[in-house]
Amino acid sequence: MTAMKDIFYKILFFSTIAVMIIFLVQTVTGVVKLEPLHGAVLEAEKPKPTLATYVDGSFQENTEQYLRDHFGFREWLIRYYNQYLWSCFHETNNATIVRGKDNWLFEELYVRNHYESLMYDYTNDTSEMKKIFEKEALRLKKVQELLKEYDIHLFVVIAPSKDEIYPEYLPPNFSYNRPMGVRAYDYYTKRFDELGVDYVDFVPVFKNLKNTVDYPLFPQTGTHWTSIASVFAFDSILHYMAALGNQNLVDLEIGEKYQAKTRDFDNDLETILNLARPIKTPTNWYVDLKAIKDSSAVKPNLVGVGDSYFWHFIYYIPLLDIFQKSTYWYYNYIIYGDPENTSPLDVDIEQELMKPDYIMLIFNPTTLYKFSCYYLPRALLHLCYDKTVIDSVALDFSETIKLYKPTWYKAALEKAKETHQRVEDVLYEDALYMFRTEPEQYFKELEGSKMPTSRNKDLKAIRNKCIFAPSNE
Amino acid sequence: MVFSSNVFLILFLPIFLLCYFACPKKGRNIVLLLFSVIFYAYGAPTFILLLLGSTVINFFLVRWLYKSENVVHKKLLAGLAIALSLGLLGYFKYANFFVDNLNALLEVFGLKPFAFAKVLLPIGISFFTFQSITYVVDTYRNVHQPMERLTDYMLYIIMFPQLIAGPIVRYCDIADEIRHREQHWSEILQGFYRFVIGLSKKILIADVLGRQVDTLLAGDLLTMNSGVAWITIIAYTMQLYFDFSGYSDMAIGLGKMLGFHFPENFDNPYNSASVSEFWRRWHITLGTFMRNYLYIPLGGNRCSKSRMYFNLWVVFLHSGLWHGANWNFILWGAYHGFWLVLERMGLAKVYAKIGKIPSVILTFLIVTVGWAIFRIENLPDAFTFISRLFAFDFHALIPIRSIHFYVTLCIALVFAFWVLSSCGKRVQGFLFYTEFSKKQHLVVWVLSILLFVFCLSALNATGFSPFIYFRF
Repeated sequence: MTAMKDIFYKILFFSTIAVMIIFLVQTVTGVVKLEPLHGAVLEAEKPKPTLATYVDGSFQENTEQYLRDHFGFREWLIRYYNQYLWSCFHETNNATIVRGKDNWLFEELYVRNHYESLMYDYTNDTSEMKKIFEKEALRLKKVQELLKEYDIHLFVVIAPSKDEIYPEYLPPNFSYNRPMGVRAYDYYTKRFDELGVDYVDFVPVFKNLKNTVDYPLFPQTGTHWTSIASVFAFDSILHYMAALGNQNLVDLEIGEKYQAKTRDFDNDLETILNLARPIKTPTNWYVDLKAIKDSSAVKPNLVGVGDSYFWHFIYYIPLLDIFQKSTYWYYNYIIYGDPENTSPLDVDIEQELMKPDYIMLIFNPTTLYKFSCYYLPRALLHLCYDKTVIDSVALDFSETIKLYKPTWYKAALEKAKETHQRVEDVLYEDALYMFRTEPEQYFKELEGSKMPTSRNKDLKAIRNKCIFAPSNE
Repeated sequence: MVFSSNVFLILFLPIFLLCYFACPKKGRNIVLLLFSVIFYAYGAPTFILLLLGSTVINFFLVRWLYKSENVVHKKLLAGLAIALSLGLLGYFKYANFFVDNLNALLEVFGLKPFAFAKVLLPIGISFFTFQSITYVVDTYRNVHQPMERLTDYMLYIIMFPQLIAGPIVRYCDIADEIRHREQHWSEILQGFYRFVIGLSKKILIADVLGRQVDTLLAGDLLTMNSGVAWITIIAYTMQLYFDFSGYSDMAIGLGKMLGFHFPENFDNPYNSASVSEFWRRWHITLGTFMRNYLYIPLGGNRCSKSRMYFNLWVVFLHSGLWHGANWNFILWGAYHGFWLVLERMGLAKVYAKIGKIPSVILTFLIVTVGWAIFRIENLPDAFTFISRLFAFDFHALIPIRSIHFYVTLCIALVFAFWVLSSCGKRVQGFLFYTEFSKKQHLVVWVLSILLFVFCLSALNATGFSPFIYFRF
């Protein structure tokens, strides 16, 4: 009888160990295939055990992180935990996503921008916020004017943001207990009007459209405009470009609207919530479109610089039927198109500035506070000065560091040693970095609201080489 | 390695249990010792030799002490062994604190500070030092004879379930079980249930509260709303209890799985009706150690009143310092010492007059305010925070939006106070002290497995916060 009783307990106990072992086996072999988790994450690499990493503890730390990222049945465990938080507490297990009313999802940054200036990340001083915005607005105007000299049209598109158009779905009781501060959208739209900057603001347009169209302008479970709204917005942008450049551009033929299950970008927030069960959403509206063939239409080059709203154009618009070439500089951090997956720092900026006929800076009220994203200061620098001038100022800069900034120079010496470079080269790189972020500090002529008189003499020849020849296709 | 980590839960623990139970009973101590060495060497590779070396020296010193018949000789050897243990603790735990304060003092007098390389703290040193002291003292007092085998003594000191966070197991409480222990499968399973309870307390309650507490205390304390300040400190009070008692539950549970009966470390401390009672229910093994190895040798309460107050203060200052080498811990110890002395001077009579529940509330408030000193290491910040608690400033909205946090806090409060009710007492008695029937075992086992998987789920899901695209 005791032996039988023991068997019962033994079965339970060894089943306990088996449960642990199952997780271990799945971690090691991944034998059960599960749908991977969605979203962009940096996964830990498998740590290599060495005496040094073991002794300093980094091997142990990395092993734990690696196990976290490759834990057996992790996909299943995380989805059900996320579902538990969602269903029991009406919360998301993603710090970047907030659940609003009626299961509407918002990015936390957008909700925050609705209640306070995101410039609080940099300063609490509202006059300082205004100063930064003013400098960027003036830079934009100068770059716009300078590019016009080469028949290149730079313009800003302010895409609408979900919180601006559908504030009624924002989560209640959101407060940051601070005054609003200076919001980029409020400041820039006012100043752009005053300075005569070329820009399209979709915020008031969408606010007006909201109650008149029969399709949603933003999806319940996505962060950007709906695919259908982005198509209509692009059609408007195309007409704006045609007027701006006084050119006959290719027209779009937009088909009949149809309803379908929410998909792709329209569901991007829900996708990265990684829930076990889908959120109930109404069907969404979609539209088919194509470019109208017109032999008299011009196919210019387009460069888009900005936030992820441009992805919709890449995904839903037949850009290659409208433009000779279109490239997308995502936050001026990486280039998609030509050259593909390249850092803007690795391209010849003079060439890249002269290639397009249209440069679209696209941001929304939430991301607008960083619309310059180091693209404009760099453009301003290279539109005004050629490489020889920049090099000579860089040389002066290096001498100043050597003579008057001992801490900086020491750091440069250390970096040179680490990277096996000459210290002169390190200082040259430092100089270029400073010039492309704050050129006004080193080229005084660029300061203030006056148009600089200096011009980069090399650009004309480059533009002539790049200039668009109408396609006969 | 901590118990609430993937490496422990899915790698170390199942492999250890398989090896342990696959091994004949005679060899199990060696398996346990081997895995304990691996456990410590994995988490603190640079200190494993120090731990093993000090253990070996202590073993032979105590053996010598035991064999010696000369009283003076015995005293000297006991003193030497204790000095060795305390010397290591003093150097590794308090050297930085001492030199920093000395340098600050030298600076005041315009003198050149000492150049001193920072000393790293070996994990678990506070616990294994105290255990080795109990070994010396219990042998010296002839409470128990010393271990015959070095491996058995090493096992007592570095047994992984209680090595890094207690409970502090006195030598006399466990010596016999190291030599010989009976294991019942039913008890092994109950050990697993206890382990899961501890794991859940840590992951599902303490960690959830801790994340919010960290965020709140990282904000501006000067402008903190009093409501938020109270929620923060109550959440921290619960976090600390569920974290520490959870870890003790895991240690006790693991011990049970291996046939050891470690002493209980917590007995619903927040239900105490006085600070004295609180210290009989909170970190019981530390309190027992301090009573037996410090308070009583100092004279305890069999002396004049003023001497007894002095003894209490000494004990609590040391208790504070044991928790960490910083002024806030010393102050925290002094704070508790102050209340204990006050209770002896007459506050206890007030408690008796106002009744149980008001006394529990009052004690809870005293302890909770004390945790502010314990948690906020920078003393001016701690005082700022305490001033916000009593500023009665409720001007702004509470910026904690997480329902999960509030629900967890409520659950924590219910569990912390449930034995004040007879229903809570019954549930606790059933869970911790009942011999389960087969059917009950089956139900509790299924629940434990579900809870275990749920803990794994929470452990791995927390912090998994992917972006739509990478942000720059």
